[in-house]
Amino acid sequence: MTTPKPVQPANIAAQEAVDAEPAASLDEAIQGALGRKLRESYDEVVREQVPDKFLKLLDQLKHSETSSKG
Amino acid sequence: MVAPDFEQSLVGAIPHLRAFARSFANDPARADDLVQETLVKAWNSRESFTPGTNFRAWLFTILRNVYFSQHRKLRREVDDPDEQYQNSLAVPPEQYGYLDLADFRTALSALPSDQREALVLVGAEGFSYEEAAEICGCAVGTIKSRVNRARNRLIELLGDPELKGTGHANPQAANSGLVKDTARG
Repeated sequence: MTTPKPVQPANIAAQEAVDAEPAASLDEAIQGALGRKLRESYDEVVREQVPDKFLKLLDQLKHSETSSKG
Repeated sequence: MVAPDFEQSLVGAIPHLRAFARSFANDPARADDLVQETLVKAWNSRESFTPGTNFRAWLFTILRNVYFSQHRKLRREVDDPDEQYQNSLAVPPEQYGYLDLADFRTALSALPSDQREALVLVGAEGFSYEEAAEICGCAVGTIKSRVNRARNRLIELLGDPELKGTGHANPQAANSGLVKDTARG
């Protein structure tokens, strides 16, 4: 009545290596990598040149106000 | 009378508003529309800004309000295109653990929007949990739990073994490569 077990020595060894990692430092390493990736992704957009339309819009807002007051 | 300081601060905040807007609208053109409307609102209500408080947080709150007032309207007409887009972008299992910028963005866009927003505010913009809570109009504990869930979900989506290795090697070379890749795509 024995159930034959599939034997996968390589996979098991790899899995054990992963399991043996200290959980806290692994977690820190992952969080650190994620944080860097997040900032890299975000900063790439921040560093993009601001299209002229935004500055034109601000100019319009400023001038519409000056002319309505003057 | 227009305070030159206000105008200068507003100009200086535009790059950050654009980046924050992208976390709401995947389409850059839509994100920029959102920023433009935010600038108009901010300009018109500049009297309500309290000097000495966090200007960027004030602007982000306005952007959020603009987005949600539009989004509610949109939702009634079509069936939430953003959510559909996000669902179509789940990282296939064979790519778990392979982390480049495009994959990261795909995983980020697959997060529930409230979690992504909290993660971006705290992790990318560097707001404190308290500031992020104020921007989102929720409790500090809610922000903390959203950030935690976002991190855990990202790890699930990306797979973790390769993440450990992304910090070393030559980050500058890697960055320039990624930037080029993104610009092409």
